[in-house]
Amino acid sequence: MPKTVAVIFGSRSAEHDISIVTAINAVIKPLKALPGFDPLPVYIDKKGRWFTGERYGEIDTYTSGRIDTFVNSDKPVQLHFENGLVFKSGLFGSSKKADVVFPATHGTFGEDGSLMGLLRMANVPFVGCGMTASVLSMDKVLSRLVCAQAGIAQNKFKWFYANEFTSDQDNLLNKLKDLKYPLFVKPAHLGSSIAISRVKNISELKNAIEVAAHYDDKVLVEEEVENLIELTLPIMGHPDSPKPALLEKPLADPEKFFDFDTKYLQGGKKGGEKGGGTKGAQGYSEIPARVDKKIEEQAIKLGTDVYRALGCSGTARIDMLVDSKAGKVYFNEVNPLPGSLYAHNWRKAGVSNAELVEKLIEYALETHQQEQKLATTFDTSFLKQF
Amino acid sequence: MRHFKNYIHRSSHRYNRSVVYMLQRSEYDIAKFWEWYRRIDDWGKVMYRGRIVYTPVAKVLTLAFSLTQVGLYLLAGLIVWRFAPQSVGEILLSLAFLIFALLSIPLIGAALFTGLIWLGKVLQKPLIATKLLRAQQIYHNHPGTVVAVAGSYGKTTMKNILGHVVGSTKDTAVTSGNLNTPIALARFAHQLDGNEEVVIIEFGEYEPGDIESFCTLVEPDIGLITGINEAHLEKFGDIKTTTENIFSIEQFVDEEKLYVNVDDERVAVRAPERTQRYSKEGSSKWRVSKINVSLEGTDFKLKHGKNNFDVSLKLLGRHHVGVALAALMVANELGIDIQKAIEQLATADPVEHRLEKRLLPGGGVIIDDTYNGNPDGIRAGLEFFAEIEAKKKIYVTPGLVEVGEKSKELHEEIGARIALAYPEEVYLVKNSVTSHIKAGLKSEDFSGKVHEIENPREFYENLDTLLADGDVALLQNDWPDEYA
Repeated sequence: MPKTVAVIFGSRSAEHDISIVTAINAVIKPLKALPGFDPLPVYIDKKGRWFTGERYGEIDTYTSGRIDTFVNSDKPVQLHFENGLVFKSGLFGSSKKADVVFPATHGTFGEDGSLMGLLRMANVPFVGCGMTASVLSMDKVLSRLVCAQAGIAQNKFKWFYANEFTSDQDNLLNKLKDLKYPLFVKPAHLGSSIAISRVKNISELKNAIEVAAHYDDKVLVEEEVENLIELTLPIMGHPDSPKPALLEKPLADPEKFFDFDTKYLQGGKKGGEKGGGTKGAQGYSEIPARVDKKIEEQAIKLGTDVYRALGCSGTARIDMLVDSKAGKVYFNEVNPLPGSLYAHNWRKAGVSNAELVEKLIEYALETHQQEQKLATTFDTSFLKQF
Repeated sequence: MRHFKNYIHRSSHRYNRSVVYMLQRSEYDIAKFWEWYRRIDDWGKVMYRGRIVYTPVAKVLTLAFSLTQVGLYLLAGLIVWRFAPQSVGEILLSLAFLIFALLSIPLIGAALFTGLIWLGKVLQKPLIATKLLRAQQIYHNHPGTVVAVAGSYGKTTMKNILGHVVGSTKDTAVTSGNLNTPIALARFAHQLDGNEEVVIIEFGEYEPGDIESFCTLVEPDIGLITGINEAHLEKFGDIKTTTENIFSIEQFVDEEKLYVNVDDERVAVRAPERTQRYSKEGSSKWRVSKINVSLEGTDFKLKHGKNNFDVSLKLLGRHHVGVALAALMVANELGIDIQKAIEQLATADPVEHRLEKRLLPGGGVIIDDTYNGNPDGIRAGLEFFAEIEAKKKIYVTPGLVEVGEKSKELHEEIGARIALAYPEEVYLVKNSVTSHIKAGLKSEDFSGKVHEIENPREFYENLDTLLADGDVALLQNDWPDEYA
């Protein structure tokens, strides 16, 4: 009997469309090639309504624009939590129980831990980082604070709530005074480089904070790393046994760092057309990154240390900043569900997309099995006193 | 429930498309069509592996069949209306008739429709005979050298390579694709302008006596026999009949101008002594040595008289050495400079879907051999697969159709050969021969993973996701819906 794998994607997120590509190309396609799995596409539209059905797993549905007709005519799916997670579509529609769930959502209402919380409640095995790791990873401030506690090297940063900027701008800017320009201003929770700015002076800083505060309630400001090389490392496995893929170097001009437009809309071509690279989910990049052996070792150690410290599982991608002259590697951020699973990198590392998906499902089942062994209740006489 | 579903399917527009698809796949052979029709137990899965190709004929037939169906439904309604039932008994009788009509019209429609096609074909026969006569005249009067390529397998590759080598020097016409039926050759005759220096023609084998008919039609000057095996054995009955059918070419071509592939044991045994015998080792006047096979192509050294040559092919597999040699021998016979012919050989591409290499953007290689539907082709492909190196090897096949009574034996042999190519994973498109291939794998203690594919279209569409950088997948043969 094939395992039903519910692939959940879309959702109320700025990265809704990227999630569709991840789900269909990197998860559903390999599941269709793998015997023993039956993919169940579960699409969450931008209004947060859930739909299921074969046509939601076809890329043409979205590229042709037919998706709007489908979501307006189809009845949203009902979720039932009895003995796992059951999707019921329509009044007389069939019910389908998920043996395992593959979250393929990026950003808010999905990758940020919300979906993982729901899946934990349903007690269904699910792929990828758990709720805690997702929450920590998707909050650039929290992940930096945890990593700082774990002694992981980072460039200098400060953080604040968006309200602090609106209520007392001068005081806040004063607190940021000891950071050295140029600076990067980032919303704490958004991925895919959305609303990230590089600023060179206070007036640009104010504007950048305003933009970031428009998207998020928490803002991170950090110093730029000199002689910058960006490196990224996809990792899979349980938190206590992380297995790295290959170090990857995005081929972009550091002056024009990878913003959303470069990564996705221009196919990653900005500053990276000189050749020698591979076009992956992030555009053109060099795999494996040609860096000094010492930097490579430092980067792999830092990546796996971060994975462990944040308790990532399944897969995650650790982004790092390297001062190439000083030979120092700094933690930048974590992506608990890399776009298209970073399958292009794993393929270079000798792991096919199908093997990756199969392995991630295997980890999910192992994690779930381990969790079932943990005691979740405790008998007390507490209620007897009332 | 399934029968009910089938009746529902037969009343849908999908049924009409399925019928036209089946006719197309059966090459409008009515007997073949009905044999398939009889075997169908799920009309929802008729177009499982392929899709109807909307040629002008297919478009007209789809419309005509739909109209036939509608006409029959209207007729049933009209009968009831004219009958004008009044009593309860009459009404019940009319209802029973309507239900009967509803259930049987799809079948009656198909019978009526195929009957009309059969009639059309009968009426067309004199026209075809006239066309063939005219074509015979064209070939007879043609001043060029006619080269005929015959065999159970390897014809299209041989024809294409030869055409590629000869075509660079001489005005050459080559039959396209695998259009090798009498009517296709008649049409080809009408396309010739009479100035061609060389005309290369592929002969198909469909029934005993057809090679003789082809030879009578085109009057070949040079013949090539590429190999003999069990392909289409169901039509020939036994291998001896197949052999004699192919060798009937010797009645029309001088023995010295008949090139035969003696890598094939059956050809080697049957071929007369004075024929031009070629193999991957060479021939009486040509010596082959130092064959090197890789994913990049095939290289070897060639000695002809006192001259030595380095031959490089893009074509994959050791068996292409004989093909290349035959092309050079014929080119030499036609007066083409050997070095020039060798240079031309190096640029020859494989025939589509015959050991055709496809590089995946993310790394990994797919060797597409899905048009390879004969035992020797499968053996040659597997021999190549065993020789190459890869991080991981994946093998995919549904097995072979139309191999007669020896199917079990042959598929067990294929299974054993797959095991000896040491793939890490084997994917078998599930059908009646799957168990035989698995038995063959077991006989060689195959230790890799074996998977059975239930939905081949979905599998093939997503196959690239199984490959990482450095992996190689070999896909051999396809299993058409008509054999499901």
